[in-house]
Amino acid sequence: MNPHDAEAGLSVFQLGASFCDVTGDRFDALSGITAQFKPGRVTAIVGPSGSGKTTLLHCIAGILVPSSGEIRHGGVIVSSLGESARDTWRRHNCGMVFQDFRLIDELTVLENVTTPALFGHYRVPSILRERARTLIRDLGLLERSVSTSRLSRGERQRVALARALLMDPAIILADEPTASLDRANAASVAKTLEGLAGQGKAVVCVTHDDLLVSRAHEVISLKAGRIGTPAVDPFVGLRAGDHA
Amino acid sequence: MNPWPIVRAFLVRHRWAALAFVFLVAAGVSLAVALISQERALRTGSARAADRFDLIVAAPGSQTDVLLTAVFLRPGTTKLLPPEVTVRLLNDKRAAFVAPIGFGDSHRSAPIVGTTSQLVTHLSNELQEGRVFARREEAVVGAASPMKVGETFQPTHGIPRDGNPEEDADPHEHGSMITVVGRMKPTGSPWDSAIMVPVELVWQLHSLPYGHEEGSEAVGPPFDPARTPGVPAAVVKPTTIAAAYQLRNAYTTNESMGFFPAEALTRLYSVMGDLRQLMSLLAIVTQALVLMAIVMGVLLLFRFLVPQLITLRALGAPRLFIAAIAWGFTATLVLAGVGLGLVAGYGLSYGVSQWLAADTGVELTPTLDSSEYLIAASILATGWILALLPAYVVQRRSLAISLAES
Ligand SMILES: Nc1ncnc2c1ncn2[C@@H]1O[C@H](COP(=O)(O)OP(=O)(O)OP(=O)(O)O)[C@@H](O)[C@H]1O
Ligand SMILES: [Mg+2]
Repeated sequence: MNPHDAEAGLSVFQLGASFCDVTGDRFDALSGITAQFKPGRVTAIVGPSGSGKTTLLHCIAGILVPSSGEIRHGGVIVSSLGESARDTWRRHNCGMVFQDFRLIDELTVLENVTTPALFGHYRVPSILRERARTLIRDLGLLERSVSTSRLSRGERQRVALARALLMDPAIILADEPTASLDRANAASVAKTLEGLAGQGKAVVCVTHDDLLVSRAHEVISLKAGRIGTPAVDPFVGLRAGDHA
Repeated sequence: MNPWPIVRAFLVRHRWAALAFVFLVAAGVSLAVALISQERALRTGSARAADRFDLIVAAPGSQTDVLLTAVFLRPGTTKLLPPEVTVRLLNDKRAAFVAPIGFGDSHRSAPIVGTTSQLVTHLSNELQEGRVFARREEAVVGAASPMKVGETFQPTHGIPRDGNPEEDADPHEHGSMITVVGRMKPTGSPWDSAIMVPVELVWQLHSLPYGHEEGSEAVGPPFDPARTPGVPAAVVKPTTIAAAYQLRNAYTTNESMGFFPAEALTRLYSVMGDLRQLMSLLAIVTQALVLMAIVMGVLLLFRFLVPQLITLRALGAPRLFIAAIAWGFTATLVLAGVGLGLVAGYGLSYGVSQWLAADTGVELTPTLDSSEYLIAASILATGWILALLPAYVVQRRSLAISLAES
């Protein structure tokens, strides 16, 4: 691995993650994962259900602690930070879209999207509120003051994406962000993610969606917690702004 | 970092659970507050009612019974002072005045008290309206009496017990017509609803010698030693403190007892000390119940909140923020419960006072005093401290484990 590349962006090296079941047996959900998620690129993580895609995403976000290997971002070894430090790192660097969205249903659409702004501010700054409104509109949503539990699945998914984008994070980690969307909306989300990569963000999506895969710069294919077929980009060199 | 928007959203969304919790806390707090406030209202109310009765002389027996009969006008069976003691007492020079008290009649369930105009003036501290009685067929009514000055009535024999005139074996109207000539100022005692007449009238109505020469129309002292019957009790207004003790000692004999109502009340309260202890115990029990309710409620409510708190952490919320939400949620509920409890406790105490006042005639003015505020504050403080516990626990948990569980 080129150390310069490691400094520049996000990378995982020989990453392993395991879970203990009730009998104390260890189950390796991930092993030996090495990959780079460079700024300006969309990486798609694909693989069958249960292959460890979500686990990998949570490790990258610092939610799960890997059992081996390391995660680096810039000069920071995320995997060796303490829990609070990882929270802080995630707050400043990651926008998360969870597979089950994890919206806060006590809040309205706008309140959900602006939640991350409350972590660092006494009140949501008006500039972020405006940004939230723009994101909601751009994702084809209406700014309705109803609980998000009233929204359709596809709408909830896009609220989750808007929330992830609010603080303009350098890394976007999205777990199946188009799973509940129709073609048109999925295409629009794919375009949004592409646009973010264009702005220099590292975009990592877990997806089953061919559309998203076809637009990704890199594809990591997981199988039973290991990288299966080499992560080849079938479209290398075909895209504008692709310097690989 | 400001947890309030999220706390508020949680409260609004789970308002029924939150309200139930607030009511539970409020119920406990209000009970404790009402108990303490009511106990004090009773104590001060009865002390105020007895305040103007300096010294009472009655036949030997229970001071409490005499107190209840003479001051609080509760019908009871009091023995009479022997006539010779009565005469000696009524004409005792060591007193500013000695007022006999006689019962036995009523009008529309208001007791008729036979006494002297001196006691009426003394209790009322000047009349509110009209003048004191100067003839046997005249009466002064208490401040709360529905009768007007100028109105006439016929006294009924017998005193209704608990407002039930039927209980008297032989209720019948006496022949004479009495005119109301004056109204007392409020005294905060059962005397406010009573009707005061010259004691001579009561004696006359009951075919007793009426304290003056045959055919005399005189009312009030001096009383004829040969023609004065025994009375159940007399109120003595001593000229000095020394005289008060002298008089009490002089009439504490085999035939009579003298006592200071204030002292008797104090003794009564000390007997009721057990009751007070019971009340404090009750207050503590309610507090304990409230605190248990707080713990249970918090645990239940946290079931709703934990997944959202985990989400917030997964989004990168600082742990302090999570703790602040968790604490703020409970703290707000406890604050609301304690606040509502104080108001409801006062209301409850007020209601009980009204009811007791209507029943006994003793004016009770419930107040909220430092001890009530202290109880409320202690519940609040304990609640707020207890609320730190779940707040600490939720923020401390490992995110990976929490996320896997939720
Ligand atoms: N907290 C946990 N405890 C035990 N096992 C877990 C835990 N989380 C995940 N696993 C296991 O790890 C494996 C990978 O799970 P993961 O959620 O990463 O799969 P996935 O690829 O995201 O699947 P899907 O496409 O269905 O979302 C699965 O076998 C799962 O059962
Ligand atoms: Mg998954």
